[in-house]
Amino acid sequence: MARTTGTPTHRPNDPPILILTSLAGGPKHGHALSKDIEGFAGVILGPGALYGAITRLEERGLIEPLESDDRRRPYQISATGSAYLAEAVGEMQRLADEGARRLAVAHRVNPPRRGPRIAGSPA
Amino acid sequence: MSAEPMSMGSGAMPGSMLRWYPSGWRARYGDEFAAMVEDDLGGRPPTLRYRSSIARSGLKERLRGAGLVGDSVPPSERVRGGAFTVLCAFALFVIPGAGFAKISEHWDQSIPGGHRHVLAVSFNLLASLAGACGVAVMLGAAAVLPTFLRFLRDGGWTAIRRRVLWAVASTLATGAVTGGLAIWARHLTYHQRNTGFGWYQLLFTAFVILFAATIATWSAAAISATRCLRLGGVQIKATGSLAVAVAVCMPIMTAAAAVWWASMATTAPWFLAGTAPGSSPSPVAANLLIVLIVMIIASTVGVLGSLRVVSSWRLLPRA
Repeated sequence: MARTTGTPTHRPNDPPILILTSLAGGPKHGHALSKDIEGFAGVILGPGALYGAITRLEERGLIEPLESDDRRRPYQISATGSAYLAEAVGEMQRLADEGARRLAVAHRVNPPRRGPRIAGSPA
Repeated sequence: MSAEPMSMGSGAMPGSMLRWYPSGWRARYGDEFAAMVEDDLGGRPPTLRYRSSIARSGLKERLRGAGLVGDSVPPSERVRGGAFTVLCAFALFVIPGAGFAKISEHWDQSIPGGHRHVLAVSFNLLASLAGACGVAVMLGAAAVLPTFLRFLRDGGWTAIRRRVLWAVASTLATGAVTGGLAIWARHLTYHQRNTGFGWYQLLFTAFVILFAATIATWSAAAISATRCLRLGGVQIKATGSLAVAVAVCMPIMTAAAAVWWASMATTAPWFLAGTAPGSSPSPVAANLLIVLIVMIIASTVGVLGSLRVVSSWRLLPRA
């Protein structure tokens, strides 16, 4: 198991992060959430995983249920949830920036090799 | 919102699948969850994988609710959940423990005096720790007794009545079978009691099953009752520390049973096989092997429960 330094680490494919990201675009009910997440992240969350994450997020006050006339209850991201997502996105952004910076350095020192040229292809 | 899952059309997830989830969760999320599943399936029947995924999530939710996994419940609930796990593990341990007591019955009268040292040490260690664990469980029960009595006075009996009645029925059935077995055993020889498979052995098997059921039903009743109680910080800490003590004892008792077996297999394998003294049968006794395997499983579960207690201990509010 990866050790951390105490700072929360977020992974882009974590169901809570995916749900918060989806809800940042507007309130949605369970099925709409699932379809949206599949669309932007390519991750299929089954009802068990989705509602497990919804339960935790609601317990932590990161999302809020909205009133609904039918059984499909929509959820919206709360102010705390927005702050949490912003922190998570910032952390992932810092990691992505650091990765990109190091890759750029590595490419300058040791440029990636080109693949073998195919006869007849332009130089 | 209703606590029961809505009935769903044919081809969709049957409402019974929602029963994997705890009732509190179903009351809060049951309807919308069922609606999502209906949308998700679009009239197609759920695959086995789909059903098992829901079952897994439901069980996970139950474990979370009981404070056995995750950090969504307060530390006191996590300690309580860990202590419950140890209690269940000890209840399971009692069954092979009783089996070991039966297998090792009169061992000291059958073994020459000069060969008893290791056997005696391992057997006495096991017996002493079993007694200590029994005392620890009693102390845990005593620690929550005043709260339990208050709970009963406030009308809590209805919440636990069904489980307690099951436990009482199971105990009565076990008592009846034990009595019958004891009377019958008097009219049988050692050979008739311990070899082959006939009506006596069938009744003995029924006794083992009923004994296990009695332990299980009383444990379920105890857990069901304790879950309803509002325990104070001192009670939580007392039951938690007693649970850790029991969990520490179980692997030691398992090791002692293994040492006893190894020593007996070296010194007097005929005792394990039930053959004439001085013969050399195989020291591998199937019943002792099963006893040890169940002891190892129970010890592992107990240690996991105690780790849950220990990891949540520092988060408990100071007195």
